[in-house]
Amino acid sequence: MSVKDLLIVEIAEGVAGPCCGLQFADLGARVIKIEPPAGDRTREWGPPVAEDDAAIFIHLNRGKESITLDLTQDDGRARLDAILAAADAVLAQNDPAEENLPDWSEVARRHPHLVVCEIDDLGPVGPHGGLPGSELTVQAMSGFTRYVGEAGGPPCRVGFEIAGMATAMHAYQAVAAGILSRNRTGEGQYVRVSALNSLLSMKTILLAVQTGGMDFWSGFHLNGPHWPADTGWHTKDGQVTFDFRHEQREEWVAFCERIGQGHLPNDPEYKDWRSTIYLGDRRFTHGEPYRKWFAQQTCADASALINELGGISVKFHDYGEMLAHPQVEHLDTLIDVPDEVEAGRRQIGFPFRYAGEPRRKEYGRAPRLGEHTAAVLEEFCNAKAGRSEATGTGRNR
Amino acid sequence: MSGPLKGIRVLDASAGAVGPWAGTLLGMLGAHVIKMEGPQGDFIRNVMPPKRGLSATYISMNFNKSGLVLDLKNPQDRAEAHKLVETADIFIENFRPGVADRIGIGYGSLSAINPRLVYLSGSGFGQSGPMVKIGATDPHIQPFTGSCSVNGMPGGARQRWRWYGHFDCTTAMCIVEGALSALLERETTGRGKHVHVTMIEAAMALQRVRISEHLAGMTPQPMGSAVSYLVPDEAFATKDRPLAVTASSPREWRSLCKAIERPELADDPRFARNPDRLKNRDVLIPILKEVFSSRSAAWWLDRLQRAKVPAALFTSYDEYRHNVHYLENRMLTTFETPDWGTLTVGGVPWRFQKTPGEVRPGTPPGAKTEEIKALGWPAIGA
Repeated sequence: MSVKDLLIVEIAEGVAGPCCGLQFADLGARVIKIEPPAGDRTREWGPPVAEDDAAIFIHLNRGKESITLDLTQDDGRARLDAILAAADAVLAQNDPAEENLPDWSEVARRHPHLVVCEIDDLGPVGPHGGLPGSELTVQAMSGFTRYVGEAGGPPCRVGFEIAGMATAMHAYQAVAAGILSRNRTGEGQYVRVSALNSLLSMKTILLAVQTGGMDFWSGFHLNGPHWPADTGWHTKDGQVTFDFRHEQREEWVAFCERIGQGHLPNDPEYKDWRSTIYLGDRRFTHGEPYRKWFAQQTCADASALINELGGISVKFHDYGEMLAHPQVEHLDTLIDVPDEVEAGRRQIGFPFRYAGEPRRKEYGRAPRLGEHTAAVLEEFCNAKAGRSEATGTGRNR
Repeated sequence: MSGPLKGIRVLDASAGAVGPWAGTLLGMLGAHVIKMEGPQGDFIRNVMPPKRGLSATYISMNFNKSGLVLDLKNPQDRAEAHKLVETADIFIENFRPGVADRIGIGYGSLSAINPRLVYLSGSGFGQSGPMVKIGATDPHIQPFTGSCSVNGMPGGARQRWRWYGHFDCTTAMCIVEGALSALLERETTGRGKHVHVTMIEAAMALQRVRISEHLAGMTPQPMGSAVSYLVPDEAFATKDRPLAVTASSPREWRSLCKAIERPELADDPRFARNPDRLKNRDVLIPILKEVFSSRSAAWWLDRLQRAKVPAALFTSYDEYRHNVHYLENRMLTTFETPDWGTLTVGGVPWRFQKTPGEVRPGTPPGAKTEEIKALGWPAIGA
């Protein structure tokens, strides 16, 4: 069964659920987005770009169909059931304050062929069980905000949607693995993904260290939350990274010579030379000789010398600089949405590609609210009943 | 093995975090995973600090795996690897471009042995292009992909997240997506695929919301705890400690106004809808700052939670590791291991009702080499 054969129903607002649905749509699945009569909240997340819709919405929902249904009403839920009978999976996230929305584990029991992926913010049980969260509150609750901003300064957020994306990717995995399992066993199932759990799972790389019981421990080898903001090395026209790896002492020595600091390798203070560059904890106390040199360079010149000597140096780009970089242009990462308004025509593509296969470069635009309501209800709700009962797989559309 | 990928065999030849975390996730989903290393070992074994002699980062990136050491320069060992490939479903590698081919485990060789194999290649900057020879690691990919331009305080320098590994692990998440998608395609075609994932594109996917603003002509900037597209959505000082507060929907905004006993704000045309509040951020935020400064964070947290408005304290691992909410939801899993003592990891991120999957410690590097050489996949129960 190809992803192109799947019918995914998305009943989720914000970033996580819609971004999961987006990935299925990008790979060719049919995604029907069911919105409440007022629409997905992200339609208003930012100034209007396409009619009343914000840039974020039109990106996260390209290539989907939109219908509006009031799922707090019996009539809306009956129509939902008719669509789910033909679907492979449903992605759902309820607003915890809204009563009378579907119980998704019950939906899974009623539609045994279906993979039902319910997303929540903070987990289903416990003192905060079932409460709503947000990108910022989930970052705060998982401790990620401690690693940006000034130590002891006002709180900062990580400036991109780490909670939303981790949840979206886990939800994609849940649905895809659930469908693989269903295709083998004949049984769909209910699966839950939480935003807070998603970020904590991503934190596993450090949790084992934080558990304690290390053989020796003199603080994080990585920049800890008690360190100053990490802004790299400052040149005349921006900031750059700077590294030679452990085995590259000779290259570092050559670098020191080229910048007029040839005495450093003989200085006992620089015996542990790598801790004075890159991520090291002695950058602050021993970085001055480098800092003086960087301050006289452009980013391009500084990075060119370091990379020429076998090290690694890149600029701290903004998005415009990143997209214009020859390597990013070479990767051909942007796609076209020809029927979208001008401001939404260029978008980010899919994060993986199949070697030797042409890359999809054109996608359909995001739907206006309820644009496909009449057609979808005609297709699923006016047809003969019993679609899924016929095969039990939902693949008979 | 009770996960949804029961029966799937994964040969993980990757090193560091990008590939290995993908193998671990597939293992948590129920796949049987062999971690294959060369005699010199995965370089991440050298990352400090160690726990009973082995890098804690190695341990945490290699759960749910059985260790195998093979020297692929030795023809006999290479034949062992090829034998495992014959009945494998998934192969993961993140060697520098060209290396896998050179040591006899490139896609061409392995797909000739097993056309059903899904072969996943992770890389930093890609397999070609002007940066291909430059080694990419998380602390370089962060600034290269623009992420530092949205971190920090307004007007401040571009700021790297003092947290390394998230871009690695996000790339691993994309590798898992690629693996599962290719397995679905295989059901139709009967053939595997070669899937490429770059850290650059994974980083762009991670930042797609902000990049979509950029591509629409806006200029995402660091705003401290606030964000360009939503108001209110930031930290507010209270009588004691800062509190994160968000109103992401019309319902949450009305509930927030009611909870702070300022219902008239919800009806004020300057603040009625989020686009109105974005325009009048400078008027609204001072009003809310004054409100929140009057009470303690805990008082507001309780009040906002009752109103079902997103709110949270800024916490750290030390604060939440014993918090009943995290424990009751099994978001943190602590267990005893035979080799490394007590370990804590994040909870299984997908809670399947019928095929729950599991998280369990991996073996020490190469610990199953002899058994796997003798028995093949059955040595690890596959």
